[in-house]
Amino acid sequence: MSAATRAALMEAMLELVIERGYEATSVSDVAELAGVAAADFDACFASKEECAIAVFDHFQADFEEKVRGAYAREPTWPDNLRAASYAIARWARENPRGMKFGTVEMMWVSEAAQARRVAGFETFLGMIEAGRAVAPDPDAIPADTAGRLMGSMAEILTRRIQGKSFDPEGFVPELMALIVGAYLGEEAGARELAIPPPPRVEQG
Amino acid sequence: MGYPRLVAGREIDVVVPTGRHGLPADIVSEHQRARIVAATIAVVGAEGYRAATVDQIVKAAKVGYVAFYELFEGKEDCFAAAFERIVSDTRAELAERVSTELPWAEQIGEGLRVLVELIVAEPERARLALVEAQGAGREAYRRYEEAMDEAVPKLAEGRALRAKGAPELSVATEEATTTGVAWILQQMLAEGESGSPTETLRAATRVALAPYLGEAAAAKVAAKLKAR
Repeated sequence: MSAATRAALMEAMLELVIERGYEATSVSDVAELAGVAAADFDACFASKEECAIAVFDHFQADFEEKVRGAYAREPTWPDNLRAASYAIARWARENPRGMKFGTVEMMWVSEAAQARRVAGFETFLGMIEAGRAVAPDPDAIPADTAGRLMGSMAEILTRRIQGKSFDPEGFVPELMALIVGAYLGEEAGARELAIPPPPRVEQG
Repeated sequence: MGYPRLVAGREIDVVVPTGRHGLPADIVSEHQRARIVAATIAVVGAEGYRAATVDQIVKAAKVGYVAFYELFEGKEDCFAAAFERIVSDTRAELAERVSTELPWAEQIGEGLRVLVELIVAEPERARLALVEAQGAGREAYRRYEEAMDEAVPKLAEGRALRAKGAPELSVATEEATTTGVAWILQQMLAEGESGSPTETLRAATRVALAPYLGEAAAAKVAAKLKAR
């Protein structure tokens, strides 16, 4: 089956899941919206679940590349984490459907999809935990701090993305204050609230 | 806590005799409803929401399909009833066991102790409310969020206790606490027997108090707590 058919099916899956949810989306709806026969769906994907996971993987690859790239361009913590957070926010603004699909809808696709969603969040564990190396008192920070913060951020994002007026960039300082506060103390956390977002760079 | 909890989950053996028994219809359906809710907790708690079927629930509840569908639209619906049951029982437990006369930090610590002890005593209920509710669809997730948000006003009382001129707090502080504590409790559930309730309670208390009291004072309150 052609790459174009596969892409059209994935686009249709994305569209329908965002509109009505995964449960309420059928393979025949997806094929119809993509303008192909049901048999073409079966030639591309073994199941509805496989198609949904393919949509996720497609976005996740691009998302991770952008976020890791932003993190790597700054040499010190928490500047690198802040840069990565703004990369997430920018990605969310540019790909609102992809963000909602990966963060929210994937929870309800299947166990395997949920595991992939969680693994996606775990990309950030190391970026958060890097705060320990620059913390004034690393031993005082509980061992599971990065896990807890990551779990917390994942859920807060999941909630915000479902809300009507989510402003990803505006939310970065609030999240940074929580993470930086946990590693470097409350003064450093509070300073994050006053750091303005970087100027928007137009991707060319 | 008497009757409502009895029918909600523990005493699955309270059987209304089948056949002609002359009990008023609304009492019978109330009993059946309670039995289905109890069975939903048992089945979803053991199997997970996705794997659980109406078939299993009906069998565990010892009710007929007709009775089930007279009371519930399907799995999502009886899951919602089970979730609400657990939330209202937990709310009642907290109101009964945590005195609002206590200083704020102790109220938080005691409240968390009640939650940790409920999880230890009733892991199936805890799994349904803390883990399965997130994977059970949009409506269930919305209910889960609402239940979490009930803790926000109590947590936010801590803001008034902060020293004058203390650094500004993130607006998402309370949300980070509820979601962070939920994460810690979920880890304890996942660890099962190997998890330590007291360690969990202390970790959760530190996370909840630190934004308002500072790390050192939060750790001091936490260190005094013990979960049974």
